[in-house]
Amino acid sequence: MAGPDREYDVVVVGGGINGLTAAIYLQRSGLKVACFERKLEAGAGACTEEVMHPGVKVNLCASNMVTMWSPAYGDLELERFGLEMLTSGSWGMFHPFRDRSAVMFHSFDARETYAQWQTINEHDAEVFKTIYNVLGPMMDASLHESQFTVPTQGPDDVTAPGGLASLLRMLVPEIPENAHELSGIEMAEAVYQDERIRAAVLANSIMSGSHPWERGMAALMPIVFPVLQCTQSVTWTCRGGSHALVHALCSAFAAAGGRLFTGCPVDKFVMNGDEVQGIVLSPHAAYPEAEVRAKRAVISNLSCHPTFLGLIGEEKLPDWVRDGVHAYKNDETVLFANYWVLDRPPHWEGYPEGIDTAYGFNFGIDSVADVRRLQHCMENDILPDPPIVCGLSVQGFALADPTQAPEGQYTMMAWANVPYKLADGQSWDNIRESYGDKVDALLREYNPGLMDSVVARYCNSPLDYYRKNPSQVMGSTTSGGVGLQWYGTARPFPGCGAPRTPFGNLYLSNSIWPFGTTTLGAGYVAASVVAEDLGVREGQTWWRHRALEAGRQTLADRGIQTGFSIP
Amino acid sequence: MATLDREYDVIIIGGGPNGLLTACYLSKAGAKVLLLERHHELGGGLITEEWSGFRFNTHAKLMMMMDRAPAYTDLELESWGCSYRYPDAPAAIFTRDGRALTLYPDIERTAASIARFSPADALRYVDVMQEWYAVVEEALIPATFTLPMPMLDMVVSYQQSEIGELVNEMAEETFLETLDNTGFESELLRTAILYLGTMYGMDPDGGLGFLLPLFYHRLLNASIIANGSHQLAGSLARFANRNGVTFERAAPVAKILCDGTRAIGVRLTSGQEIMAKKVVATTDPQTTFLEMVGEDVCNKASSSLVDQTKAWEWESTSLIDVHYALDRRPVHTAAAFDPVCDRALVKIMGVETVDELLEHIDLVRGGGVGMVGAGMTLTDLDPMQAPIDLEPNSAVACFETLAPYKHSDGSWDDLAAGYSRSFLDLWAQYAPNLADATVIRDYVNHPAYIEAKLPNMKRGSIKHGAYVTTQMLSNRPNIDCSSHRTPIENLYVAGASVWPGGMVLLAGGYNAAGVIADDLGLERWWKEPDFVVEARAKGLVG
Repeated sequence: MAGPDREYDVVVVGGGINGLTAAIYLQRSGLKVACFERKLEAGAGACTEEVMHPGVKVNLCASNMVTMWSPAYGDLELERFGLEMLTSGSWGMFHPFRDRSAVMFHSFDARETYAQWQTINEHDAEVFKTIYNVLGPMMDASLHESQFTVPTQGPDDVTAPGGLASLLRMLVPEIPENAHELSGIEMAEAVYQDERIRAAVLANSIMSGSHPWERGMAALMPIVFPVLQCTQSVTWTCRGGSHALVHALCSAFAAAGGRLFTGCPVDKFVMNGDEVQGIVLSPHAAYPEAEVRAKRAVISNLSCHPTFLGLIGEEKLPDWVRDGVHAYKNDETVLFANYWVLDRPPHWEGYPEGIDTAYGFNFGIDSVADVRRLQHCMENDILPDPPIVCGLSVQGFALADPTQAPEGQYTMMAWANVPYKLADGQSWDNIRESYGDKVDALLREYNPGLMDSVVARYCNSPLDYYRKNPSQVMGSTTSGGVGLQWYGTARPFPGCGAPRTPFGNLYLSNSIWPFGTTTLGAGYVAASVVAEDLGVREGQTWWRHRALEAGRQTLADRGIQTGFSIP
Repeated sequence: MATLDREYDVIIIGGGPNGLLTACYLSKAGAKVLLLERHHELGGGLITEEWSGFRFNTHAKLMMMMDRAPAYTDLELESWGCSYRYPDAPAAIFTRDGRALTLYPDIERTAASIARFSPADALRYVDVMQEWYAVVEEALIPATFTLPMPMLDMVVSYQQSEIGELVNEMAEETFLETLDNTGFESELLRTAILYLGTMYGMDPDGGLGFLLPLFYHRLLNASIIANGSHQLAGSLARFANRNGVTFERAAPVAKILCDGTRAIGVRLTSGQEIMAKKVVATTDPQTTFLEMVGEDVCNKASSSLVDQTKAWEWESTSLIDVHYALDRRPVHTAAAFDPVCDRALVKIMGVETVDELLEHIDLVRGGGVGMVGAGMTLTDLDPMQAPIDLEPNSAVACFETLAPYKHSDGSWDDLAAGYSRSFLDLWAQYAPNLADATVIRDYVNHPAYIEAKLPNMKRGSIKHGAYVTTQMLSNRPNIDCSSHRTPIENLYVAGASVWPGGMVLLAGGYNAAGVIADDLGLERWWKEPDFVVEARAKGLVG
C-alpha cells in the first residue's frame, strides 16, 4: 500500500519549500523521510495560481526567487529536476520619483550602477564605488556563513557592529565616530547626500526585511543592499512561476525515495514527556487520524506559533518557552498586494533607459520623511495613507518568462507595507478594494500610462494571506519577527537553540534564522543540524556546494559575468 | 526544462485525468513513459485553486464514477491520498413555496420523498428505477470501461438479453420520450430527472435516451474528491511518478512527428524533439489530427480522417460556474419541510416544470442565461476547503448552470460579474441567510474562460465534443479511431473525445492503456472488474 507507513526515521510537518529542502537532504543522506502537507499542492508561499484571467499566472506570495544562490540549488540538482531561473532586463531594481528620475540597481554589473548614480549625485556614486570595491568580495565570502550556517550570534553581538562600522568609517569619512549607535536612517543620512538615493536605499532595506529605524544590523542595509544586488541579485522568477520551484523540489524528493503526503493536516505531536515521537493527522486528512511515528526526528516547518501552541499545545510548554513563544511578534512584516494584468509591456515614459525591462521597483518613499512616516504607521498600527509600497513591486514576471501570461498580456504586482490590525470597526474584507484603489492612484502619480494599460486587478490583504496559509500568522511574509531582538540565535526565542528546540527529537525549519526567503536557507540549516545530530552527515559527497557556487555556474553557462570591480 | 531522454516507449500528450491514467497503467506495466503537459500544473479539468484559502474547484466537481472505476482500486488511489466523499443526499429540487424533493441513490428512500408530492409516483418510481438501475448497472457501467462495440454488432448482441433489448429501445428514444415512458405525473420529479440528465449539456430532444438513466443514476451516486478535485490528479501523478513516469509541465506540443504515416515522436513548441515508440494524444480530434499531425499526413493515412475531423460537432451549450467564498453556509427555507435537503449536494433552483426547463435550455441555445441552476456547497462535505481554522463558519459555495459559448448580450468579460450577483440573489430566495452574507471572494468561470484555460474544450465544450449518435460509442471520435488506435500507425487517442467521453469517468485513459499495452507486448497487470466479466457473458460488452 502507498499510504503512510507506521514509522519513519524523520517526519517533516509542512511541505513548504524549507520543509521539502530539509526532507530531501535527509532522505538523500540515507534516512527514511516522510513529509505531510495540509494542502493538495506543497509549497506554501511558493504558489502560482490563476486567480484572475485564464493563463495569467499569479505568484501569490514568493515573488523574488533567490534560490539560485542556495547550496541546495547545486546539491539537489534542482535544474535537472526542471527548475529554470529567469530574470527580465539587466537592471534588477529601480526606485522612481515623480519628476521622472530614478535610482537604479543593476543585477550583475556594479559599473552600471555607479554610472547611473553619477547622473544623480557624484558624491554618492563615489561612496558606492568605494564601498562596493571593498564590501563586494567580502559579501560573497560571507554569504554561506551568514545564511546557511547555524547562527552563533544573537542580538547582543550585533547591536554594535563595531568592526564593520570602523571599516566603513575608514572608507567614508563622513560616518561619525558613534557609527555603532546609528540607525539605518541615520547611517543613510550620514553616508549619502542625495535625498533620492537615501529614499531608494532605505526602501530597499525595508524590502529586504529590515527596519531602518533600528540600530545594529539594520544600519548596514542601506549600504549593503546596492552592493548585494550587483553580486547576488534578488530579482529572479522561475519558468512557470514561483510554484515551479516546488515541482522541482517534489520531483527531487520523490526521486530520492522520499514520500510527500498532501491533503494531510497534522493535528498534534505524539509526545512522551518532553520528547516528540510522532504525529497525528487531522480527522479531515486524506488518512484520517492516522498516527505516524518518527524514530529519530520530527522537523516542524510550521512557524513558531502553530508549532508550539498548536502541535505541542500551550499547556505542555515550560514557562520560559511559553513566554518566548508569546513574545514572538508575527505582524512585523505584513504586506498588502495588488496584482495587475496589463495589455502591453510595462513602459515608463520619460524615465531613464533600462527601466522598462527592469524586474522590480519600490515606490511611495520619496524622502527620509516617508520612511519616518512608515515607522510611525508600523509602530502604531496605522494604515499608511497614501500607501507606502516598498515590499517589492514586480513588472518582470512575464518579461522574464512568457509562460506566465497569455500572448500580448503582462503581469505586475506591488506590495504595500501595512499593519495587520486595523482600527476599530474596520475589516480587511471591507476595505480591501478601496485600499487597492489607493495603491493604483499612487502608482498613477508616477506612471499614468502604465496604469492605463491595466485590464484587471486582484488584491490580497494580509488576512487573505493568513487564510491561505495558517502558518503565515497574521499574514507575516517572513514567518514572524525580523527585528533585532529576533536576530540569529534569538530566533524564534532566546534559549531555543534553533533549529534544535527544548523538546527531544523536535527541530524547526521555519521561524528560525535565516528568516523566510527563497534561498532555502532555513531548510538547509535544519537539515545540517539534524544530519549532524543523527550522525549521517559524513560521507555525503554530493552535499558539498557553497552558497553562490552553482548559481554562478548557471550564469556563466549563459555568458553572464558578475563580480566586476569599479575602476 | 528538466533533463529529458531522447527516446521513450510512450509519449503522452496532455496531463488531464485520461493522460495521467494511461501513464499510470502503462508505467506499471513496464513502459518508459514521458507525459507532456502544456499548463504549469497537471490535472486538466481537475483544478482546485485557492482564493484566500477558499478552494474553488473551478472545473470538475462532481465525480460520477469513483465508486465503480477500476482505476480507484487497481491503482490503490486511496492509499495515494485520494478519497471521495458521498453526500447524504446527492440532489434535491427546490420549490418557490419552500418545499423540496430530495433524491437518494436508495430507491425506497427516494420513493418516500416522492410520496409527499405524489403517492402514485412513489409506487411507480420503485418499478421504473428497478429497470433503470439494472440498465445502468448491468450494461452501461460495464460498457464505460470497455471499448465500444461497432454499432450494428452492438444492436445484435444486445438482442440476446432483456436488459440489452431495453438499451436498444432507449437508444432510439429522445430523453423526453424516455422520461415520458416512465409515466411519472409529478412535474417536480420529472423536472428533477430531466435536470440531472441535461445539466451537462445533453439534448432533451436528441437521441441516445439510455443516457438519461445513466446520468440520473450516476449523479445520484456522485461524490466529491476530499481536499479538492486536484487531489485526484496529484494522487495519479504520485502513482505514475513512483513507477518512473517523467513529467514535463509547461511543455506544449507543436507537432506529432511522423515518418510517412507512422508516428515517431513529438516536437515541443520550444523546438525540442523527442522520439517514442507510441504517441498518445489526449487532445481533441481537431487539435490532434489537423494541427499536430497535419492534414497531409492524415490524408496519406486515410481518405476520411480529415473530413471526419472537420465535421466534429462541438456541444451546443457550455457552462457557467460562479464560486463564492462566504462567511456562512447557505441555510435553506425548505429545511423546515425536509431537513436533509439543506445539505443536498446538487440543489436545483429556479425550475419546477419540464416546460420551464425546456424554455431555459432554449434560452441558452439562443445565447441567453437563465435564472435556473444548481447550487452546491462543497464545504458541507469537506470543511477543509474553507479556512475553518481561522473562520470556522466560512463556506465555499458554487452555482452552476448551462451557458452559451457566445452570449447574445455581449462579451463574457463584460457580463460575468453581473451573474455573480444575480445567481446569489436567486439562491437567496431559497436560502434567505445569503441575502446579507459577506462574499469574501467570487470567481466566475464562464465559457470563454473554459476555452482559454482548457484549449481542448473548444467553444467551452466541456466534453470535448457533443454526445450525439454520430459521435458516441464506436463513432467517437470516428469509426476509425474508437479503438484508440488511429490510421496513423503508433498514434493513439485517449481523451474525452473518445468513448465514453468526458466527465472524469476514469475510463478513456484506462481503456486506451489496455490497447497500448497489448500493442507494446506488455502484460496487462490489472484484472478486469467482475461486473465487466459478467456483462460480457451476457453479450453486453465487446
